[in-house]
Amino acid sequence: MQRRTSTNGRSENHDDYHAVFVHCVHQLLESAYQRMQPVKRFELWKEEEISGELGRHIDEVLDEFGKPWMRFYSLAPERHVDEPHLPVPKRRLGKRRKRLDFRFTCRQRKPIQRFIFEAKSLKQSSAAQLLDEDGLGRILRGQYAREDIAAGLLGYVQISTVAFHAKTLEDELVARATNYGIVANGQWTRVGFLNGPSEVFRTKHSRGKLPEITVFTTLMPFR
Amino acid sequence: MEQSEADTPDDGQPTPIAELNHLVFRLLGLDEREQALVHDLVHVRLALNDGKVGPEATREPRVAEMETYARWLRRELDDFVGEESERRHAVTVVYDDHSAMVAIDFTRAATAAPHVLCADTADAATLERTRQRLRGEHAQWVYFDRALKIYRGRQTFLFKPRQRFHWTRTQAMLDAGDIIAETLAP
Repeated sequence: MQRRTSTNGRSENHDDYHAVFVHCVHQLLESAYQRMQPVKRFELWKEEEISGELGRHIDEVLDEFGKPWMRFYSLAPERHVDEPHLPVPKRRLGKRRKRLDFRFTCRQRKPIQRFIFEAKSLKQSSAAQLLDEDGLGRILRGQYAREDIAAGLLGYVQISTVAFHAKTLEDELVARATNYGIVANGQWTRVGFLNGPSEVFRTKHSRGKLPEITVFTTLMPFR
Repeated sequence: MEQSEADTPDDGQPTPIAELNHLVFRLLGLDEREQALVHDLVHVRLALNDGKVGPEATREPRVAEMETYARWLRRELDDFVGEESERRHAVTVVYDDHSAMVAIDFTRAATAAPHVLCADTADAATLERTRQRLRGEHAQWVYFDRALKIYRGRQTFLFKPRQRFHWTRTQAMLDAGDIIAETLAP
């Protein structure tokens, strides 16, 4: 049936609803992670292999509808990224397109809200694995989450400790805050999500003409 | 969820048919929401199929049906924000002979069951003043469109004609989806 609804104004509930959205996405992530216990068996797995397992468990959680809110969410793992903002000759097409590791969707009606995660294996001690051009760089350049105001980085900790990687990331983001476009109130801050992952950190970045983006970095031990 | 006349899947059909429908729903494993979709399609929306304008779809909704709509709308919105949210949705419907306004507040206050109030009653006085003011501000939309949605602060107002097909459980789910999507939009 054709929709004939006019809409006026903007709701002051946006921030609350968006916080719920981000929270629920992280709860789904944690529920799937808990189903992967004991996680030491993934210590030597590749990033895409762990992402595949994580995605499979997220789908299971969603299929079971354990909580009423879960029906509002869906997951598209390994989704190709289109580049409609670029002229056609410059676009990556077909299999040449970049692939997101996870894209959550709150799909009730339009406009559709999405939350993407870029995942990386942390098999070395350097912060570059998450923050380089193929990690945070893709979000800051607008290759990923171009229209979004929030996105996620997912670090699979396969050597050393979560605390070590968290400190390394924080030091790098503080030392080169300008390069990463960290805004005044956007410093590395621990975030607590009830029933969510225990190690989540938030930063906020400017992206030139694109909307500012809040990046939630989640560190998950797999060792 | 509490039951009302409008909640019953068969709208007063003879008991054997209602029982048969119930058995089919169970056999197909349809949940409550899916059952509502089937019911509204068969008993309401089909009356609008192929250019028809059947009375099952266009008649005035009963108060119980508007209450059911309000209850389902609130449940959808509360489900989205989850049990952990400090705020819940309060839904009140104010109606006259021609149209109705659904007022949704996202509030920290304890919320009672949704209310459906006739515009000329004392209980509806405050909301009726809001309704008249908003109708005045958006007169052209109320006149030309079937529905109007207004976001004001924490409150959302839906203006709807008093026709049955605007007040189904299916429509409550669709309206909630619209509100969620539009509220989430940057």
